[in-house]
Amino acid sequence: MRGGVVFASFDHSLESFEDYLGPTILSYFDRVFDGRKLKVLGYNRQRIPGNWKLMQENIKDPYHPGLLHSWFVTFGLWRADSKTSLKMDAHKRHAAMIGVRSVGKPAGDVVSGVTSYKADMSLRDPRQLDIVPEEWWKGPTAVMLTLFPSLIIQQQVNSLSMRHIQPRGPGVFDFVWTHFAFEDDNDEMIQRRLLQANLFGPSGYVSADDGEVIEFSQMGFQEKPDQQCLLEMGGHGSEEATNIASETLIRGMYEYWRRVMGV
Amino acid sequence: MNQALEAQAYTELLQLYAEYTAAIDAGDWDRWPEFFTEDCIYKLQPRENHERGLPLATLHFHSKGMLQDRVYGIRETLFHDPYYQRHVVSLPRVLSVDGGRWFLEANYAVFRTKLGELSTVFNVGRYLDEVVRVEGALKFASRSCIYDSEMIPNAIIYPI
Repeated sequence: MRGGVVFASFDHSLESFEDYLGPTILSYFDRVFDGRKLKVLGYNRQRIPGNWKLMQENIKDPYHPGLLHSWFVTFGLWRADSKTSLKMDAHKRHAAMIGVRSVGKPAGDVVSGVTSYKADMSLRDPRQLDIVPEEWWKGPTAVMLTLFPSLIIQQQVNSLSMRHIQPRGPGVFDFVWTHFAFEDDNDEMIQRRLLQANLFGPSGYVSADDGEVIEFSQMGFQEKPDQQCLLEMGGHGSEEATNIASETLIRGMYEYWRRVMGV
Repeated sequence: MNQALEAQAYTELLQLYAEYTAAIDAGDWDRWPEFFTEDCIYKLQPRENHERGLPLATLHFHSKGMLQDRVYGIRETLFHDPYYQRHVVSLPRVLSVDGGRWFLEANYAVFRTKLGELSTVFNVGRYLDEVVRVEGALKFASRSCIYDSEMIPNAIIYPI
């Protein structure tokens, strides 16, 4: 147990939780779970017809939001000038995608050619994007933690959740969301977290489409099991990166996975 | 309220329910927000949260504006495999009437059909509704879709 979060394993020879995460990832874990009492807001459950690793890939892939999540792009939450850094533990099994949202009017070249960015586009009810910075963020407006093999810890602006990946076979997994707040949040902050939850989960503006794309990808793999498709973005390496056009976190996880599985 | 008036009001309620269902089954998204008051509540919530008093909903909108924003999302931003949906809705049961506000409950089952695939049970639950009269027309002041089928088959994109 650390910071109010309980982890358990049947493997008694497992290293300590702190060692398993390593200092870098642990620091981002502690950033959210700093000892404040947690308050569960509720659950969402979805069954996604895809391999469980695709969800890990999704949350290790910093460039797909600009392509897939046009809601983020349309309302200016994701921009090519967003500052992103990608970090891993020494084994490259866990990762942190750390983002600082760009605010203010973008420079012309940042949004030129981004057809779905609309500077004059705004929500009819802006309460869904009433973002209020919190002290504990210490800068980043979004940190997505992927803990190998099955847990994602989400801070996206004021919305917080833990997402569990529960494989049900090679081609399907259940994805269980636990949204939470802190016990010392005032009612306004609780309401804000609940409203921003509209962005996430099985119907969320920037999550429902992740599940859909994973389903499409799985359909593609299953169609011709004896054929292979390879896309390499930025070479073969798996070093940490400071820009979003990178697949190094994904390759890092597969390096680790292949070592563990002996494939 | 005398019996004739009650019967007339109930018939009007049935029309509201039938029109709502027809609009969303037809994918007529522009009509969907029009069934609601300006400061309406629309909620799509798993039964477990509802029964345990947990506030999180799968979708939770607090105004007609948010419903219109959802329509924009469905049309313009949410990348998804399109599907037909077909609602079967029970007769609404009147829970109470209070000063022109009807509190109602109705069961629903939604079937999903993707092109070339079998129809499947998509979402099953009940509506908990509050209906008021605005400028002569009945509108939902609140509609909560409390669903038993907590395990969502990947994604719910369209309104229930």
